[in-house]
Amino acid sequence: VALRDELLFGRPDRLKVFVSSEMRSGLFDDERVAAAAAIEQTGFHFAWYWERDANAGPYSSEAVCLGHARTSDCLILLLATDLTPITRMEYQEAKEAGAACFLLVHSGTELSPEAADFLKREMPHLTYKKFGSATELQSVIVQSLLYHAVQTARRHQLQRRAVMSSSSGSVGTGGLT
Amino acid sequence: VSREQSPDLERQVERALENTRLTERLLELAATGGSVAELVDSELGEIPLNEPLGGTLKDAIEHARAAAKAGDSGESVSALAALAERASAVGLLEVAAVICAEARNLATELGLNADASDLANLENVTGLLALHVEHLAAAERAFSAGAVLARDSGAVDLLGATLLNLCNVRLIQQQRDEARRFALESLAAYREAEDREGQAKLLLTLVSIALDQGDLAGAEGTLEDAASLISKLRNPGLTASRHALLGQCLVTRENLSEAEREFQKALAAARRSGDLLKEASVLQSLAAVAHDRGFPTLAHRRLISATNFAASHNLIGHLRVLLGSLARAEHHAGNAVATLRYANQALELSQATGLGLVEAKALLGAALVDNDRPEEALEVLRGALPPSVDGVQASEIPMEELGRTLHNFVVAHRQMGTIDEAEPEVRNFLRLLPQRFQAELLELIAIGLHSAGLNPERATELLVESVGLRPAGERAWACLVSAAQLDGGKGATAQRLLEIALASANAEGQEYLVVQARNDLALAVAATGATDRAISLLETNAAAAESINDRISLQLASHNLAETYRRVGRAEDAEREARQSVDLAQQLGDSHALAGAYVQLGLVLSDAAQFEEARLSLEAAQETAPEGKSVVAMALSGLAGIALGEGRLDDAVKLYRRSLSSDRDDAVHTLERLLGLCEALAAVGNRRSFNVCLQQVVDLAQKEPLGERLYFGLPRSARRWADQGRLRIAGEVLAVVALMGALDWSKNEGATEEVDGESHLVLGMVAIAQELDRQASRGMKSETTRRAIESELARHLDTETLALLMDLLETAVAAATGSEEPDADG
Repeated sequence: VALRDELLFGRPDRLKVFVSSEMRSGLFDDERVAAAAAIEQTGFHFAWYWERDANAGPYSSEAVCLGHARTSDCLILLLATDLTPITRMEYQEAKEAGAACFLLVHSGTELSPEAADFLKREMPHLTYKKFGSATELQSVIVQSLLYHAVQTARRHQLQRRAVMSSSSGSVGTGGLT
Repeated sequence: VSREQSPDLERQVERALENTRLTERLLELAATGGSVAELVDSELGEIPLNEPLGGTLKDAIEHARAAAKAGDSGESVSALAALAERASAVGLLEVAAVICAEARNLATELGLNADASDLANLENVTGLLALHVEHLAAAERAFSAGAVLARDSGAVDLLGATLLNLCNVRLIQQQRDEARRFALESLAAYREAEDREGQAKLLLTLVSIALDQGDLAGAEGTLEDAASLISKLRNPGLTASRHALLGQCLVTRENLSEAEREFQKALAAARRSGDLLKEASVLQSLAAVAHDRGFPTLAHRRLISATNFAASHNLIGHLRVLLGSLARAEHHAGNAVATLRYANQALELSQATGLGLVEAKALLGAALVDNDRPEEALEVLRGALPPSVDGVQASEIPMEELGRTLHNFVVAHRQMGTIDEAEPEVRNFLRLLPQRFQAELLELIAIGLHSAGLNPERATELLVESVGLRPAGERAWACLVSAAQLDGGKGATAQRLLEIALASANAEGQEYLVVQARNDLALAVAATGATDRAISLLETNAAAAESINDRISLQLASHNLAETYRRVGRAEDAEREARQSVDLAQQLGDSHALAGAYVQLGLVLSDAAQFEEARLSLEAAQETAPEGKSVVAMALSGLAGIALGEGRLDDAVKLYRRSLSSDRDDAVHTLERLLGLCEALAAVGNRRSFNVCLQQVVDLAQKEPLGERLYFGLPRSARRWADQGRLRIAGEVLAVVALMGALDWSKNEGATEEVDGESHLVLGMVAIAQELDRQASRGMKSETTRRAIESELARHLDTETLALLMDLLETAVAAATGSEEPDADG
């Protein structure tokens, strides 16, 4: 078996964006589908969400979700009031695997104290935005993904430029690094 | 993940490398016979051997000679061959080689009396030994000779074995059709011999071939046939292979936890069988499946353990692959030094065996890039590229490997600062790559060229070519991301890309990308002064957002409309939009957007001299997002501007300093704050601090393409000095403006007409001329300023360039006479 995903410096064809949220109540049923549509409209990302992408089979849904969260490039977590244990784990897995995490909170609801604590603690590690409707969610997703793509590319560019500066012996890089 | 290669593993790998080189020499003896004793006595005798044999190579040879003396017969040849096979299977390759050589000498002595099947057996063992050290040509020769001898002697079981081994050689060479042909011939031989183990082996080989060809259903079907046969045989080696192949089928089906279980069963069976090669293969698969399941630490631990195993048993083929995998795993763990070490060792093994050289060079090149050693990287990567593309068909080379090599090649050029040399070298290979790879490479070169300021026109052409190579559904996004990377999305190239993005998103019905493209295009065209079009684009976005009640897009449109109106002096419109932006951000509960909106409202009100409300708005921004350092810095900068406008100069200096210490991430904002601080320091007459700040402006402007701001901002400092009667200093500052303009002009020489027409040199000269004119009209001695400019320029320029610049200045002064002073915001 080759170590198939180990593509040094290579990019996969599409970036995988995991759509995470509480599902049992059906609160975000429409928003999840809308989120996936916006993600895939870019042409550069594909959305992974349970309703469409999980294969039927005799294995644990939790393990499948965590596995996909862990191997995603980005995670979009839709939040109303509280995090369920599984969404919390999905976030943790994605964060630990180095994925970019976006926490998008429904503006018409109030966060529980636990969710507010979570947000406060995780704020430095994620992009936090609010939305009021499925349409606004789509706008905020496209804006966030674009911002993330550009920041990633710029960071790479600045690192390279800093290397060039030090190797060519030119003057210091000021605020570049 | 361990960050260091353990000394044990390092020693094992080194030893395996030495053994490989030694075995290469012994292999020659094994295949031809000859003076074993001489070589052993002179050089090799004292080499210690692994368990279970132990002792030295010389001891093992004594055993072999003793075995040979049992009788000078064909049976002795067979006995020696069997001994060599056992030695080879437990990794004692040196022993196996010398025993083969002794057997070969004995067979030669026997001449015609030697039994063909004994000789066939010897050839087969020699071939296995060669295969063990990945000497494919020698292995193929031996197996072919063995197959002929086996067929002649009617030893159908041996015929099956040699044909199966030929099949394996073809599999390694990736000649799958040939491999399948040998496999089917071998199966026929085993059936004729009624050798059920042989048949089972063959079925498993057919499974492997089917998997290699992507025929999962075929693989699973054959595996079922093999399973029923194997269950009756109770052969742990075959059981191991069955579980391992089932594991591979499950990996292909992405059922990774079941695959893990099958590999664990395979490992247990492989250990029972004592087959080292099988055990190494399964260890390798276990590392891979851990990686695929997203457990990098476990994968790394398993890789280390598999590598240790392969190295300690001289399993060269496995070791070569595992070192490459370890290099990749270390790269993913962020350990560049270990990546380089393993990549180097993988290449050494490839060079020793002659296998996988291109892949190993590509890997080492990547590792050198990762270690910021671009010069060596380029040399190694050139060795990984096809020597010529003439007549090469795309199907003949592995695309992904070539794509990655070229990608690293371009990155190495960027590291070297020779990105302009990348395109000619890469261009030849482009046609061999799928269009997606071509597009990515061109984009990488173009952005490199653009950010290095080497050839902006070519960069634009390459970006447009790159976009054309992408599928229609990807174009808009690719343009949006590329444009945002170029001069903050504001230059001519960015504008062109954004036009393409808008057209493409419209054509593809990507409504959210249309909104984004319109927004970004509006900002780009506004930066060129085409504010009417910018406003029209933003108003379209605002109307569209309003119609679907999308407050997020509406807030963005309002924010940008306010900025654009502000720029053209439509103060009332700017204020209306800025207030709407604040209102929407409040509704959305987005504190970051709200803080930004407050900053903007503060600046709009400040422009309108409503300083009290402006101050409140900027303070609200600080309170709304105290953790947002960029917003806080912007608010402080805005407050500093108010202080400067109100003549509270010390406050202005303090606020600009606080703004700069809050955030220097964005070069453009940093420049604006430095220019503000320069002006405030000039206004208070603090020359020493002013000079320090001016130097920072110059340093930053030399590194970043910062557009026109410098040419409007610095003359304001000169004006402050002049207003205090310090005309010499004013002249020195204006000379810096001229020098920076000349520097930008020289960078853009030969660039597009648009860049020439708008060149910063002209802007700078106009600004200087206007200041001189202002001084003259206010009765100041502008000639003093002019002389100071000239003498400062003379310190930096040769006579000819100085004369050229002064002529240009005179022209600008003549043109500026009677004109108004520059707008404060440009």
